[in-house]
Amino acid sequence: MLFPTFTFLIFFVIVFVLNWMTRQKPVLWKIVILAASLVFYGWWNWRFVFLLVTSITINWFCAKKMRDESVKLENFLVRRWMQTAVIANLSLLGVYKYYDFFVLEISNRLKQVGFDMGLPLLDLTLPIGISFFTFQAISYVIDVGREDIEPLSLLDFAVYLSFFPQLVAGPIVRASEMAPQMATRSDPRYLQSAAAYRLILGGLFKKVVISSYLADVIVQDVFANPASYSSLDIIIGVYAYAIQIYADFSGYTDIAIGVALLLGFRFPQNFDSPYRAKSLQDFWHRWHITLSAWLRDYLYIPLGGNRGTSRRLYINLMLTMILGGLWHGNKGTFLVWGLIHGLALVLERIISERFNESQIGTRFSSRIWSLIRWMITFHVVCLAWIFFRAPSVGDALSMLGGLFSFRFGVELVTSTLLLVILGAIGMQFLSKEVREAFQAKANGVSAPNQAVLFALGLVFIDWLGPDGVAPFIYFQF
Amino acid sequence: MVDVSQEQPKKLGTPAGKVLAWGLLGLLLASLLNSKILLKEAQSKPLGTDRTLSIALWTPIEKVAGSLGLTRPQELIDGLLEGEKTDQLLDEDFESLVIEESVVYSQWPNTEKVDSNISSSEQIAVLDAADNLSEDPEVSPGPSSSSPLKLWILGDSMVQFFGNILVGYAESSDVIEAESESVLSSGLVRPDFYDWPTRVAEIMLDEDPDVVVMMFGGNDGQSMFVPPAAWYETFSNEWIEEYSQRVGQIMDLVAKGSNRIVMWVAQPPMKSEAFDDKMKRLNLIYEKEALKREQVYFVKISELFSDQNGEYSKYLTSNDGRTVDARLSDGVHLSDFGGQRLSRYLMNELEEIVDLSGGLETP
Repeated sequence: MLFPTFTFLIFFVIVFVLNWMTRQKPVLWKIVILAASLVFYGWWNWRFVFLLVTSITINWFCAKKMRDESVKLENFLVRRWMQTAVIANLSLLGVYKYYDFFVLEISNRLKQVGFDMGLPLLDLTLPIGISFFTFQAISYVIDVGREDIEPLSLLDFAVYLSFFPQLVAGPIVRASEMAPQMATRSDPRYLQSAAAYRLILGGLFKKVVISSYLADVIVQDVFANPASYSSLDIIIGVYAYAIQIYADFSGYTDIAIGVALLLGFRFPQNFDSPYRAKSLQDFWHRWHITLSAWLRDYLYIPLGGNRGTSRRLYINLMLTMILGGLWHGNKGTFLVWGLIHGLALVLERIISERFNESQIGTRFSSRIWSLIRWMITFHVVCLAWIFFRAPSVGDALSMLGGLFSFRFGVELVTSTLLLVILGAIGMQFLSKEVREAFQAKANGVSAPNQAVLFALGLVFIDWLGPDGVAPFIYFQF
Repeated sequence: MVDVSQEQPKKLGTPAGKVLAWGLLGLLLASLLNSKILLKEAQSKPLGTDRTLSIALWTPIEKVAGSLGLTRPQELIDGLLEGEKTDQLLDEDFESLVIEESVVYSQWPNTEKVDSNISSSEQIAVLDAADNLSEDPEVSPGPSSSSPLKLWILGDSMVQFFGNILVGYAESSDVIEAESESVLSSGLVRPDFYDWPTRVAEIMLDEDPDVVVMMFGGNDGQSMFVPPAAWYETFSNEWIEEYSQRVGQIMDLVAKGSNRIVMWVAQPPMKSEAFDDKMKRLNLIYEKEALKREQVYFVKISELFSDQNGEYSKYLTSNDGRTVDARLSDGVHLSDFGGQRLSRYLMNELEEIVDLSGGLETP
């Protein structure tokens, strides 16, 4: 079920009514939300509901075992149950997402040296959202194992893992963020509807209008056949993709946060104007924040994080970013994407360790230095996006070849396109005060005006958007 | 973006009941303002309960909106867009082309009739007997770098996954200029969604290509609306007759009265058995229509994308012996490798038809 569809609208109105009718009866409310989430997930393919239920059962059981009195006393037993759960989750992800890729690689390598093993390939359909709910499940069992949180009841855990607003494309919500909200009975008299409408409309606008427009007018063409376009077309196409993926993914997140808010839940922030970042480290504090926090807490820090030698730190950074890349899928392009980010983060560390930044900064005025840093960061991110978007590493290299071919001419770039790209980047530089002032003003709109503005916004978006809406980019992960 | 999580919880807000009531009123207002589009979308759905319910819902809303004048903004925008479209269509050359080719915009012509009483098994028998495709007409003079062959690749989302690869292969020769155009979810059953005949006519007039590669069908296994008010069930006799006409007419639009060549690409085997069955039925129609036309080549590709048993297989063996995935996980579209394999095959087929020795490099 896609958010920007009539089907979802009907589904949500029903869930909204049931949610607030049952909110004061916790058990009934959880059953209603769980049922709604399973319907939402099963809408794509009902068979995958069993997969989700299996994941819920295994993770809940392992976490529960970790807190059994007999197990609690033996640290190694706690670790064993934690490892069992993590392995189960990674196996699930591995079978659906990576098995065929690795078997193909091994099989082809063996063929090269004369062994044709005929290893079986599964050709399984990838269950939507599997990377997101698997990561949530891993965070839960590790948090329970570390005694950061108390284990949840089966019903609570089922609601947490399957909660439909964030089930298929995040944000990756921690149990420590969700469980207290489930335990508190939201007061139906104080719904933050204005903020919710603003987020939903903003998200729809980003997805239906901006993302679709950029994909249609330049991104698809340039990435499909870079050899046919000039260097200017290609570079603008790359900038456009940077905006497209931001609009698409943050648009989804905004809608998810808005929908959750209408049900009385507050989700963590997932984006914070990422293209205003002046370093890669800063970028990762602003882009897909819940994934980068997950990678930090459950991968980077356990690997040793900043502790130990500089060399160890560089290796940890590289490993984290490479695995972060492979989280998106089993393609070489995602590996290169992670490598670029990892290398850039390592380089940043080396420069900051060896050179005093203020010394470099004094050579330029602070504004120019900020601009230089921003330009470098933005273009490294764009370079990585080329690999993220291209069908293969070869295609990405063709894009780069086209970029540096210095072919002249303009075929796809129009003034409207430039205006959209510049406008989207410019919006990222709005100060926090300006944004908060706008949000405060928008949040103060009365209920009748909210309804009128929401209606006009929906119609406006529908008129501006294309017929039919492509699925969100992050659904494939 | 707003950090909702950072906002301090306030005892400010709207009661849920009020949010629901005003929200529903807002949605009603949006529905009224947008009712024309919503009704049109409902009418263009495939036959079935969903369509019936949707029409039953949107018809009264559209009537109320019309009587309140709430459809005016949409009509104004439609008027502006229609004005542009009409200006385009009144182009004299274009009009003459349309008359010549008997094309009526947004509505399929009703020219050559085919025998709609042929059953599927009879069709298979007829097609099996006709192994030889039409004779090869010459494209003369042969293409050269100063006078390159113009190749266009047109179709639905299937084309998106090989069209640009084929463009790249074709343009590696200096005797071909190629262009690819695909429209997602389009086909020949739903001209209300995307009007391919009009678009093809435009391309013929404006670009005058020499060879047109076409691939349709992925979205065509659905019931069909035929103006003014008929609905044909998928693969009923009426449906086959109407669809055959549409296929034949789009072929004619390209090839009739010219030296142009059409390479009509068949559908490959599909992962879903039900979908595969539909595509096989459509392939029979395409082949039958191609056989009727001298300049239309029906390019079968099932062997390119099948395993040893002739069945769908995601994984195929490449020329260098590696096992490679040829299809995407949806079991329908081609992977990068699949697109390359099909494009190479089409280039070889094109070489059989046209002498490209003026400069072709084998990709």
